Amino acid sequence: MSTYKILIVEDEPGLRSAVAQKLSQNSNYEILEAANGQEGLDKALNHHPDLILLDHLMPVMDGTTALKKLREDSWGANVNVIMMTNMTEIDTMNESLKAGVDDYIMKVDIKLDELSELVSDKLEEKTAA
Amino acid sequence: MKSSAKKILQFFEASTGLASVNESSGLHALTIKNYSYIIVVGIGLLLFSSIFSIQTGLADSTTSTIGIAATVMMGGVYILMRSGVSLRLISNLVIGVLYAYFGSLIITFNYEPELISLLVFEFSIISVLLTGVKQGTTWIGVFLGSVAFGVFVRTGNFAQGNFDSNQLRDIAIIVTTTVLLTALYERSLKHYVDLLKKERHSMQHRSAQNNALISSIGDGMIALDTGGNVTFINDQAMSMLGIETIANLEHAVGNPISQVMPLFNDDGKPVDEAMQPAKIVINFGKKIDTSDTTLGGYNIKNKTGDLVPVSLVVSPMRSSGHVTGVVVIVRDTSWQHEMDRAKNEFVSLASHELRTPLTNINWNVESLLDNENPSLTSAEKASLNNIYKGSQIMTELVGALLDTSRFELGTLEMDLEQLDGVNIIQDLVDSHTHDISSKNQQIVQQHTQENVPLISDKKFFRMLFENLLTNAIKYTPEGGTITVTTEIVERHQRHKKMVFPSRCLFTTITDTGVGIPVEQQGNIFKKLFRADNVRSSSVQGTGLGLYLCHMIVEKLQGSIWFESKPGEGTTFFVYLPIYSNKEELTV
Repeated sequence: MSTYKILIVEDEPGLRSAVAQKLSQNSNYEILEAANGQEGLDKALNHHPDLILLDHLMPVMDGTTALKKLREDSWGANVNVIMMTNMTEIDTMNESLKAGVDDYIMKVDIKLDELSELVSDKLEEKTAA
Repeated sequence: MKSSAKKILQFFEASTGLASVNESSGLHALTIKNYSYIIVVGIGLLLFSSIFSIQTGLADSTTSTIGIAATVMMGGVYILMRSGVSLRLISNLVIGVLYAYFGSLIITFNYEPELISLLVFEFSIISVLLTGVKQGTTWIGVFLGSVAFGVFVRTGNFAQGNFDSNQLRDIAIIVTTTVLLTALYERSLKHYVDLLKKERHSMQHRSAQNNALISSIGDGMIALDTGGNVTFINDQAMSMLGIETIANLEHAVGNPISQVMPLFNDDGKPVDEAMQPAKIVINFGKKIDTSDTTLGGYNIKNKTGDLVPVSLVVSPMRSSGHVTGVVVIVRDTSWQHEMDRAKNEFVSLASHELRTPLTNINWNVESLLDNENPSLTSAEKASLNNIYKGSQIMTELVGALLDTSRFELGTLEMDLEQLDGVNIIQDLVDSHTHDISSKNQQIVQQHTQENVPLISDKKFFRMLFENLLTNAIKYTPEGGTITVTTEIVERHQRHKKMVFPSRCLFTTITDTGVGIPVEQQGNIFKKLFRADNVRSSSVQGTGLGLYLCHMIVEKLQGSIWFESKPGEGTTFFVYLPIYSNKEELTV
């Protein structure tokens, strides 16, 4: 079974560690963490993760900006990105979709189990493709 | 004028009191001044010839007496004229004198040729005086002709050496009367000029008042002719468009509105010719208010070239039924846009800031409660479950509060599209299958028609029925039944004891729940209201769901009402008009 690198970009430490803890239960996952958009972008470009969980509202650089920059990179153009947010505004969603997000989740509406399932589905899709 | 001559004139004027040197008194002073000398000399000559003819016995006593009388009358008329007595009175006096004088001449001289000319002269004077200057113009010509004729006959007599003082007197009468009449004519002209001046003054006053009024309107105002050219622009419009100098103003007035105030879409592209509101109003003669219509956003460019959002009210100006131009009211709506942005930002941030800690609690409790975590005692697990439950309720409450705030702040925009109403309701029911079966409830659906296309806002539509359905499930005890029905009711159809004002989707959601206490039924759609029987139960709620439903239904131009029996259950009725195009719902 292949190993996947997953990058969690989230400024809220409590959320970041909860997701990291949940995902690291799967021994095939190697978890990388970043606390803002800039750090996330740097880690993504250095480590080329298989999937990125990206928060929207963060200090230094927000998620949408990081995503736009990521998509400019030849590797980053195709990496799987799930945007995680608690912003419900249509404009925010549209902006993320325009920037090239693969999935968009409302953090408050999703359980950790569901998030974990979504991640494994996305990775399976990638392997199948 | 030399100063000595001026002094002599001033002395003459002062001694005779005939003319004023005060130039500020205008036309009146000038006219009288010009004619005064001739009139005074004429009257003097008349007086002299009359006295002379009496002294020498050349004239008979009757004509001499008449001559004296005429002299006195003319002098009197002149003095009256100078003293500002009404024109009508003087005219009547002159007519009286002339009638008396010419009447006596006819008797004395047995219809001599000069007399005929004098009669024509008399009638022309009367005509001028009675009909007014405008209509009497022709008569002035006749009058001058007759005067010329009379003078010609008289001078013919002089040439033949048939001079007598009566003739001298008659010439004096003719000349003096002519001049007097001309002066009167001028005075009547002055009367009109005065009237015009007065009218002009009051017009200037009114115009100043109107200008002050138009300037004090906070909005820009531009008037156009039917060709779309600017005929007027107020200060506000000029400053909005960055026209601040007179030179620029001259460029504005007389030029097409498309040049003076080019309009742009929200993306900065020029507005299509066909979408120019002024053009539409000129062509169709109907008022347009861009803030009420779906014509889209309009912007102008300010002095620095930045786009400024505006709303335009364009009204046709009509004169006897025809459109003679349009008035454009331009309102800067940037502050409204700014307010909307601030409100949106506030709700958006509040939403984020409140939800993030809740997510933090939820995810970390989930993480602790994870099956793969064996170190927890059952008491710890129970505590964590309580925390989790509380956090879930909090999450629901925050969601409802934010939805309500969005609604109240007006930041939830209507996003109209064609929906399949019945299908959405069926989907919502399906999504609650788990909750329904976990309470051993039955769900019954009756839809008289599938695929009902209607124009609505998907999020509002879902929010409305989601709230009603969740309430029905929540407040119905285990084993109860929830019935959802939909049907199409045609316009003016009588149904369920009411007549429907338009074609609609009529939905009922019936539960066999706790019901609403009769005395509290009037408050059920109020914000944060929860009936006593549910407040004391273990069922959690926010008191915002039905409040939101009511606001949504109003926004969708429908109605919502209910029938409820405590202990037996409640039926909610929702009437939503079916519109086939977006305009019907937005206007």
